[in-house]
Amino acid sequence: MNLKAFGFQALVLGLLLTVWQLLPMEGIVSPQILSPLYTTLINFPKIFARNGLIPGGLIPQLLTTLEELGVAFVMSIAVSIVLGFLFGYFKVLGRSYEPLIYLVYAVPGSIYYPVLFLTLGLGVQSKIAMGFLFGVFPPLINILSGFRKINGIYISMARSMGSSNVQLFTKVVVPSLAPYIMAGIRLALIFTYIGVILGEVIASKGGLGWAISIANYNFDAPLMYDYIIVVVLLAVAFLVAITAVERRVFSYA
Amino acid sequence: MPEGRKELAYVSLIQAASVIAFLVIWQEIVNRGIVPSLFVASPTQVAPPFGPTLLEPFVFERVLYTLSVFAAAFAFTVFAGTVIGLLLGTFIYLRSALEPYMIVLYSIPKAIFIPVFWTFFGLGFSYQFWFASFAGVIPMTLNVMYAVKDIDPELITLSRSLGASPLQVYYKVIIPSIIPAMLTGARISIRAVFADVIAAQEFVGTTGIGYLAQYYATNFEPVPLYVVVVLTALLGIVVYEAIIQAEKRLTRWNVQLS
Repeated sequence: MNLKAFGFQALVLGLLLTVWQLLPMEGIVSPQILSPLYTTLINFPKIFARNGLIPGGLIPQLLTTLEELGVAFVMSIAVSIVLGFLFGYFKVLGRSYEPLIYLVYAVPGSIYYPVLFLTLGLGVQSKIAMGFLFGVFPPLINILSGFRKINGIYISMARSMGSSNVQLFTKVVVPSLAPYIMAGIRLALIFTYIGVILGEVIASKGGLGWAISIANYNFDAPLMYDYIIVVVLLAVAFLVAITAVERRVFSYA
Repeated sequence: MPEGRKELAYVSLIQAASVIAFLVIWQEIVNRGIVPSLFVASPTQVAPPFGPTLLEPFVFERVLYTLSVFAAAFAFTVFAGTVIGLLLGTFIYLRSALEPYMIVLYSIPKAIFIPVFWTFFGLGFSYQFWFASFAGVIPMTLNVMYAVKDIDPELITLSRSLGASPLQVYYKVIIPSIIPAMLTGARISIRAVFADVIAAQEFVGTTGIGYLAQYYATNFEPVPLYVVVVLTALLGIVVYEAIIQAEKRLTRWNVQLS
């Protein structure tokens, strides 16, 4: 079955790539809008050109995006874990802030960006703030739901066997929450990346998303698709990396 | 005082204090000039012109426009996501072929496709509609797909052996069992659709809330900008609350036995 599924997946990919080549080649879609696969791939070396449309080429844009993503990701994880434990442990705080968290979470994220770039400028700061606002809520909500699902029997049992508060925390609470924290890390990575790229695409001075916008404004379709491929491959790399980490961490399960 | 009442009092107190503290800090940041007033508007500056700004046709029409694109795209998302999810859930080969691509699509920043959509559909209603639907349909589809996958096969075998036709199995077993997942999917999609309609409008064009926010931000007019942002936040909250209430009502019968 696994091999069969792999075959089907390869078939779908092949079909997609064929359609990508054929639609513009046969003139069904203008090559200005969808540059044919072959043209896009041939154009790939140009992505590194230092004095082309994108000053400095791919490497500085990649580093800018990774910098923004890294800072926003670490901030989201740190804040969501600290707040998650605080709200989970002090029940009154949790009951007070959980409804407020959901209210803020319901705000459509893209409306934050004009406010952020007006206050923080078009540099990396506004993208970091955007990534943080996108990335902090999903893991926080996840950790809070994890707290609600801790088995009460484990806690009473540990208590009746004479565990101290610290032991209860390290031996029961943290291990029960581990899957939720890990899933939270995955969500934080995905959503900070979404926020950072969204900010870059809409208005910025650098980064992969900015390169896509610039290529689009200048009607350089092949270059735009090259950068889109880079963004997608980076997302796939993140997914693969985080899945590998999850396997390692939960190898006991 | 009983324990529950006492806690409720604390909770309301903390909530009220936090909201007030938030507004006071925001006000103080502007008053003390920590951020120049060219870039930020304080609550006392935003509250009075809130009504008049919204009644300007320039603003009013764009808000209605965004809401209409959002409503159309969300309705389409729910419909298309359910249909695709049912197909992928029913046909195992289709699912195994497409599942990894759906997961990748779920995880990539959809914003990179805004330029593709607007060059393809041109400016106006349709690129916003298709982009928002594209972004929203993925979580919807995934939810419905996994719900179909998780239906207890014994239910299907049982109804088959009692002589149900394939169509009856669909209407009596499959559709009722996916409704909770449909609502969960709709709850995730509704945020994506609203946010992505606005993102598409921020990127290009002169329509909708997204353009308004972009326009006021680039012209250094923080007061109307904050009016628009506060309004959008309120709209987002109302829409999200509405779907949560719908979810609670429609899945009241679905008691978890565990």
